[in-house]
Amino acid sequence: MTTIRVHPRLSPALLAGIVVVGLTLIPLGYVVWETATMGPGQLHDLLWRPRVGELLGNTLKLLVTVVALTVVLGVAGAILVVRTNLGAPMLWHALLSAPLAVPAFVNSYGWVSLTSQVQSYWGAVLVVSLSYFPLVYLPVVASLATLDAAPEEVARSLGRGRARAFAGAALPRLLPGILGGALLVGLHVLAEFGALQLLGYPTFTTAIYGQYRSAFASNAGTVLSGVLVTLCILLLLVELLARGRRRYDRVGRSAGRPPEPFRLGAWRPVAWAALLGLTALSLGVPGYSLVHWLLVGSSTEFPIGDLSTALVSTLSLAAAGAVLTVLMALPLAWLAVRRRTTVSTALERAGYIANALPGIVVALALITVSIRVVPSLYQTLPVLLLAYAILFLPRALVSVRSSLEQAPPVLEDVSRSLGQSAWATLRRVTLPLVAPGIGAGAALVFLAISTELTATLLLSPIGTTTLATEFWSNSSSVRYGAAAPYALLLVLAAIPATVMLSLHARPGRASAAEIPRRMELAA
Amino acid sequence: MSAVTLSGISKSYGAQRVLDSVDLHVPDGSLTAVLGPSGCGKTTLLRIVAGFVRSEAGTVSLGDRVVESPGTALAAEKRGVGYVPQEGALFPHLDVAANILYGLPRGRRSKTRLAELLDLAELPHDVARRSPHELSGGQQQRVALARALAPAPRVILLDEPFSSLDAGLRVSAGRAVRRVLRHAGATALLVTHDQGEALSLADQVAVMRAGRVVQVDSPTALYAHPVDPETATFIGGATVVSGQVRGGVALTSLGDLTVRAEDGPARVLVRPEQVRLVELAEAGVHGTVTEVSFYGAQVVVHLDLADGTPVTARGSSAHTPESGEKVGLLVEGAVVAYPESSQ
Amino acid sequence: MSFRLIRALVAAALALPLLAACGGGGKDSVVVYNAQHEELIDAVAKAFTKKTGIKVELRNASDLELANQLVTEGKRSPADVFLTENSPAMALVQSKGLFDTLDAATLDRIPAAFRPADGSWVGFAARSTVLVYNKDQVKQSDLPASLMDLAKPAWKGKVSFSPTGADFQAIVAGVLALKGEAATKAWLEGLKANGKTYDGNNVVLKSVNNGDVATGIVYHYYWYRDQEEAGDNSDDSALHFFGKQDPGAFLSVSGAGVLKNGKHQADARTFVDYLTSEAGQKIIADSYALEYTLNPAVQLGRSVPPLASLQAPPVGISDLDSQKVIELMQDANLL
Repeated sequence: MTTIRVHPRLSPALLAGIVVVGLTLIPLGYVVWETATMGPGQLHDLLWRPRVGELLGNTLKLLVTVVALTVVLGVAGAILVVRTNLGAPMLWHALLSAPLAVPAFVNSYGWVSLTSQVQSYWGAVLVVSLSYFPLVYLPVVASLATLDAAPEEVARSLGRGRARAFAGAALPRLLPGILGGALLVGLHVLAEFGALQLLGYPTFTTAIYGQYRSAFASNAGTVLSGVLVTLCILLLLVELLARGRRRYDRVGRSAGRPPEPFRLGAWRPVAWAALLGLTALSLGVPGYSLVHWLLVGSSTEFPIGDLSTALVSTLSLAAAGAVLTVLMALPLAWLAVRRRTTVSTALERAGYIANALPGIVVALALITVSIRVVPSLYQTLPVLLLAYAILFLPRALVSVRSSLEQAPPVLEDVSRSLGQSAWATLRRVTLPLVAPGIGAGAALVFLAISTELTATLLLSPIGTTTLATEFWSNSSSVRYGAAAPYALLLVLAAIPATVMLSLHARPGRASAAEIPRRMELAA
Repeated sequence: MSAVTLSGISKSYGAQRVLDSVDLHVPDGSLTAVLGPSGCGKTTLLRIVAGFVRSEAGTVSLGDRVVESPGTALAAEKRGVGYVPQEGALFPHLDVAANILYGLPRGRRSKTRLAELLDLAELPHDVARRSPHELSGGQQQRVALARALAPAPRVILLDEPFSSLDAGLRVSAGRAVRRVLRHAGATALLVTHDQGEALSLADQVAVMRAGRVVQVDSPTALYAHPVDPETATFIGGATVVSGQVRGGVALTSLGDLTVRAEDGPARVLVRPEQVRLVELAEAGVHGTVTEVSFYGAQVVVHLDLADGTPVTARGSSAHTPESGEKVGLLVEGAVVAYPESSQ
Repeated sequence: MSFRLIRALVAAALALPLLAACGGGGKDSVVVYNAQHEELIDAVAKAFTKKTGIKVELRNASDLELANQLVTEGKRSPADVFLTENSPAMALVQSKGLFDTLDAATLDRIPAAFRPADGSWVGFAARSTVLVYNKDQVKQSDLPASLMDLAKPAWKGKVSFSPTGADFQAIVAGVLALKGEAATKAWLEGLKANGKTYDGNNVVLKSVNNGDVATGIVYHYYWYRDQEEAGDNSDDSALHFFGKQDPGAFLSVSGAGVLKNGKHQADARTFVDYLTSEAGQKIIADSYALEYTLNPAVQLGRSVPPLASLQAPPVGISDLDSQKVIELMQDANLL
């Protein structure tokens, strides 16, 4: 029997939740407020100019092609690894997940430092797709691995051939995974700054950065931010519509038999060659480039002092940011799990709004708001940490929420009935149950912050250098050798999250509907 | 252990009245079942006794101590009330031993106490180091019970403790739990929607409907004399037919039946086991068999009377009619009748 | 495991402010908002600290980013000194009255052409506009006589520049000061049609050298620096100095100023004085930077043409209007 809990009063958790959501809404609120108060004439002039059209065209062209290409690469790779007799599936799985460990801007550096040929539309499509196709590959692998053979066998018993049976009975069940992955790729493309800047392909993010560098917090930059955020929100809506009723159609963990693998026959060497080629492009090129520049760089001097300073401040920032982010996620997750009301649902949803906020927009908004409203905080650590918390709150929320679900209230009731006070119950029951999930969430945010570039670039306080900012200052002034050690450390920092994701997507570990959410954790 | 006394307990959620002035006395050392369909308020009642939910009116006393009244409420952890929720709700991060000893102060968490509790709960000692997920459903239930009994509570509350077990296990688990409770001399309040469970396990059954307690009785009294036709059909299947009572005899489509009721129109309750199937010639009432459910030793036969009234009969499978067969019906023993006006 | 992790995270979080305190210099440092090349000023600052014992803390970013930051921060700014690569950003801060007049001794070291008349700041280095061209793609005889020619259809697809950088924006400011608004607008529109844009002059240099594009508008030192290193990005290209007071010979002055609201006024003055002194200028001249020093006592030398030979056009150093330039570039859809 379900018990309805009604809490009409403003609880501390609700209050904290409202504060957190208030903070996360600062960037969006800033963009909306600024554009709304700009005056229609100026807004029109800044919005309705060929430059915006050009950027919109560039951005959309890149978005569509990259999403299409990553879907093709991700789905084909997943089918080959999971559903065929390709051989060495674990090896290929590792190789096809591994590009996530190379941050897109490091991958671009790898390519650009070898050939300027990639500084073009198709170059940008290639490099960005190579960075992001695992975002589609992983959820599709997870879906495929949990699929039961039965529907396909039924389809075949009804007279379909193997391929048609797969297309008719299995493919539709992969759609949630594909859509989720495609959405993630889309949002990443819209928010990508570092890679596109290095690739010399102008989109909204690079233009906003250009505006910031030329004119600080200008209205032109705000208008571009507004357009970019609108694009992100539209993309989320498109995905929501496309999923439609399928949202609830979860592909469950099945205890059933896996389907028989497709026999590749003579195509097997072709498949190997194709996957080898993909791996060579996605890992080989940046890997080669990194090693090359490491060797070149070490022939001059190895800045061990600068390197360790940057490393220590990166780790400290990441730790502090992770703690803050998890603390902010706690009240929202608590309300969503334990106090389900319209208000708490709305608060939790609002926590995910950062999914639609590129780092550059968050950074720009926080700079302007802090300088105008709380000047004492301007150029200080708390603002940078807040930016991290806003950007990575969704990742923390997913983990913290699911960890709270591990601790149903009935366990607390039992503990109370056994004579334990509220505090003792928290210490002996709730905390031990939720700590692993919260720890994992904190770890994911930690790793995400260590490889964050855009917000760090704009918000890092005086004298603070991080791996990402040092990498950036070197690679953007064509000091490729000097950038290499930082690139290496950034790759190392991204490896744990990649391994975690790669393992999560193995058979039976998680349902397909969970995977896209998990992907947000690390990518 | 001590008796539990509830008087005038009321509770609403929004506009919905979940409990409406409930009175109930659970005698010391007895097992009382609160029986009712889903949503009747029985779980809320349990949670009020436990102290997880505040009542709006009325009092709860454990022994002679008032733990809940409009003015005051003793916190759940201070009531000394053991609680066994659905599915046991064992702490997943603790092993069986740590679960059982959870409610004891550090100094009293001894191996001897653990052994006593394992024995009490009829659990083998080698489960002590296992994790909850390594136990069967019945074992989990008994660990939960041992955990609740460990601090020697004044009363044990069981919330649908067997609902997650499969049918075969449910009966044996129920009997085991009753044995354990008897052994511990515990006062227990068990909430269930399963009438068989309530009747077979409890010393006293309180039937709840729409937030009210409609009848409190021993299982046999409850079965023999349900307070109204709804209760009657809820407690074991029954055929209810209309009839006229005249001088201790009810005239119905099932024949003239012996009752103890006032004269006048009435609804007459006939239990399936009272209906005996005989040769056509032996009875004045005939029916056509519509469906036969065979349960080995017993058989349940569904029939239609000539006027279309459906009747259920239960008897020995030694006499199993065929579907479509015409048979005679005899009603054995006195029946219960409810004056029509009471409806 | 997770408890240990959380404990470690919390410990790290607590240690952070401490860390920032020792890593980021104490309260007694001169805070320099530095838009000049980080390595260069770092070298100067180190020598300065060694000589005077005054600690220097650098906040590195681009010209207009920092200038706008100073303007927005106003009195609250933690900055003591502002250093730029180009003059427009100095002019912007000067126009808001945020600089304090420098000591006469400092000003006198630098020729009047390289500092504003009111003495609110001083030039400490300069760079010349050049056209870098790919030797295989452009013959010397085909080189344009004027920077303005690059807007002509003949140069379609053959010119590149870095519009988001303060360097190019300074050059546009020079063109604006010399040719007026209408001509500048037409020129920018021509460049938008003809040109290929990159982010950063290093990238322009590399792309020209690679042959991705025939020419690029940059400052001289990018090419010379690369030559002094390995020449990987410059061996296949050469520089064209426009001379003849053409806008293309525009000399951009890197400025240094002391902020009125700084908390370390005296130390800040000492630092700027050192920057313009023979010792400071010598560090610049001897460094990898290859920018022109402005104290006549120190000559850049090396392979770079002497400052006097450049025939730079006369541009009022405080007249460079960065805001107008941004507007014009936005209108030309370059930003």
